[in-house]
Amino acid sequence: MSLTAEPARRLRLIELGLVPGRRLRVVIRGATGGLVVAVGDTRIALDAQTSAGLVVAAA
Amino acid sequence: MATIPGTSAPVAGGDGRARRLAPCCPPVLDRPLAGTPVGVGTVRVVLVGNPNVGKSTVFNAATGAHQTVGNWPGKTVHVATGFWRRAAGGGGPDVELVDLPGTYSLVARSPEEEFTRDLLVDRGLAGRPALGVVVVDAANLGRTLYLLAQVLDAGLPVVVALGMLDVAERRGIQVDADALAHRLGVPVVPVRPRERRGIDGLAAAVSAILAAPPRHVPHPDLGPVLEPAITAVAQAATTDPSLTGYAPRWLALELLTEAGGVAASASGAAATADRVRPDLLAAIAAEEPGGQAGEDVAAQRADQPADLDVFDLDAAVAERRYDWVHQAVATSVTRPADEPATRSDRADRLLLSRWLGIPVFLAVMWAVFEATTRLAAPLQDRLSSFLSGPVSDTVAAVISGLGLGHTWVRGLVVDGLVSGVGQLLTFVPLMAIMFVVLALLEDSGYLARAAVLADRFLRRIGLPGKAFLPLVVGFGCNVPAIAGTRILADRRQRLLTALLVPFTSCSARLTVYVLLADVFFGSRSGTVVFAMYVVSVVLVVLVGLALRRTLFRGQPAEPLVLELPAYRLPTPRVVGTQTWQRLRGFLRTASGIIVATVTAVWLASAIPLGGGHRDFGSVPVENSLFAGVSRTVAPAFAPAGFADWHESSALVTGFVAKEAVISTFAQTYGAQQPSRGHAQGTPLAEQLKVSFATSSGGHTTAAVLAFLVFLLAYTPCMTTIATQRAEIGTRWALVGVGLQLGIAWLLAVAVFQIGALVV
Repeated sequence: MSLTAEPARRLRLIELGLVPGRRLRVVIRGATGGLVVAVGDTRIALDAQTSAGLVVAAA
Repeated sequence: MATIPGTSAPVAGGDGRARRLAPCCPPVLDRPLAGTPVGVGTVRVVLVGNPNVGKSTVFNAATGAHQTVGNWPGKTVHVATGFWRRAAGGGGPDVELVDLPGTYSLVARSPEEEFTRDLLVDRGLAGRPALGVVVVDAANLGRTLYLLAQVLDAGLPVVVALGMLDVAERRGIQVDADALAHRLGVPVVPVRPRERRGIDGLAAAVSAILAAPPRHVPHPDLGPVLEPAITAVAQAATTDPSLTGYAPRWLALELLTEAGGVAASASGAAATADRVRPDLLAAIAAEEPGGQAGEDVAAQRADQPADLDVFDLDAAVAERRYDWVHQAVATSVTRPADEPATRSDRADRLLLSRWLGIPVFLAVMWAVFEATTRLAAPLQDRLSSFLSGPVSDTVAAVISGLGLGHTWVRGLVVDGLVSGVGQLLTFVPLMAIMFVVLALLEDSGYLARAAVLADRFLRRIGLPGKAFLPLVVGFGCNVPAIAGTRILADRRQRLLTALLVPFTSCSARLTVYVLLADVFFGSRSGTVVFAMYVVSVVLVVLVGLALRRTLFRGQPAEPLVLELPAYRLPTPRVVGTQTWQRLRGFLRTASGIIVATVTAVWLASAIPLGGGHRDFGSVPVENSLFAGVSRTVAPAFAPAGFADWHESSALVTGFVAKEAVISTFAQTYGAQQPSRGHAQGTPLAEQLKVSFATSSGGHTTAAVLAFLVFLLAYTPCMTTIATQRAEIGTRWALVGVGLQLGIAWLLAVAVFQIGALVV
């Protein structure tokens, strides 16, 4: 996974554990347009715009 | 006056050095944090950690009853402080424990995170705590250790409290605390605060370190590219006499990543950082895995402003910290080979799904609303009748016994003070229920999910998802709703929401709508009442948008990046403690104002105006000071069509409490207060019709509608103001009052003027 979000958001995502190169899993896709992703043991809900900034290579 | 600090305009420094985008708040506080130096003979220990790791539970277990919750002196950040007897040891100094707000990083993005950062690092070596207890989550070690990495980089002595072991065990995750301690270089103490286990061990570890503070705090190894650069700058810092007050490594990191406003930015160490930085950036770029990523980075740097480089460094540091974290986790955590989907994930697949998500959310909201209205009402009624019955009678008897039965003293005490205290106390069941509901939602983990669902709609009016809860509760009663804004982590969001809550039409206002609609609209009263609620919602949305564009202009639209904690069964003790603390806070802050205003209203109606009247205390209401005030205020409502002193007097007492509006009408007309639903045809109804017809010059309907709209939008009650004062400060509470009165008046005038043309 790599991040193409704008710089300020990018840092925030990294700090929460969404580190480029890590494996992530989608728990559920948007009841409201966004995503809930699982990175390790962390679950993070993202809005539509932010999730658009995640570039994921299928594993 | 009122622009919120923390506007996020990026500023390129004149010398080409870019500043950090979107600083939350001015990095160097222009006002020293007075009132915070630790007393002589006291040592400060702070509790640090991510949100949802159970910091507060550890805090409560450690400090027990010896704690205070409130605003840090000079700030509006809610902080709990207490004394940790166990950690103080034999003859040592007292240990003050501060429960800092949960944060994910020392890079601050909200006033709460800024506060944590300030206390930990910004005040140099002299001003910071003696030790930090970093609470980490055993079921989420891979992320919660990140903050530890930062705290270690700051050079603060640390003890790690390993919590959430029950969740970890349930998932088959085992953490070897000793191995972790060995790897991290700091003590790691497993704790189970909900069961009150492990806290003594934690206290022992803390007092051991306090007695013999380490000379060097181990720090994460940030890799062969970053470490040499950090060392170079740190060494320049240690050899500079003007920089001895700062932790060298942290200073080096700040200088390298150009955290704006660092006090040492003119020093030799800063020059070293500047010298080292370009090569560092090149080295990092070269490290990027895969040629494509490298090209992307180079392309980005080519056509974007220089401040992107700074974020590359920040990002690189963050990633290296995570490398260190992952290595630490790998050596000390064992997981089952085959991990089934966690219960939380399975629950979320339902509760956040397209089909079930919103319905469940609405059901929960309905339940919250019912709890704060229907459940609370009978308790409130019973308390109210108890206070106005037996208690009042007893007090009256005592006064008569003192021979003051027929003087104004009786009126003042019984109708003023006792009534005021009564009004305050009737809020207690309501607030208690609200706080219990809040605690249940937070503790169980559902609140975060609900915030995600509501976010999509609320972000359109610039509000965060969590703001839905106060707004929903506000339709029952504004007072617990404003108290409920504390679920918002960010002070500015709390402020915005607290300013909007009064525009949600509460149930006290409903009673007045029903009466007037009944009198003036007969069979169409239901429609009119419904229309009021529509107006209320529209008002919240419009005022929210307007505030976002004006007072809150600088605040960027927050992206939703919300951590979803594991679902947990709320424990009664935790719920109980939180509720009790919040209730105590409410009583402490609201009691004075409520009692004072009720008494003041009584006084005003007892003081005769224009002399020569009967004794103080038995003045006919139209000759009282109260009436005088109402008459003075009345002309302001002329453009709105209800410049009659009867009506304005109802609005004046309505300012204190909406429950008083109807009784004031009755009192000023000298008529009987009608029972619910039977207002038409009563003497009061007839008098109201006459008044409104006269004051509006025949456009009765327009004037009544204008009156209703004014009632909807203006200040709900004194208790609201008192609660706002407690949550957002006096200045903003007054701004709120101005907003309410201004908007109400404008709306009322508009409704009347336009309505008079039509009706």
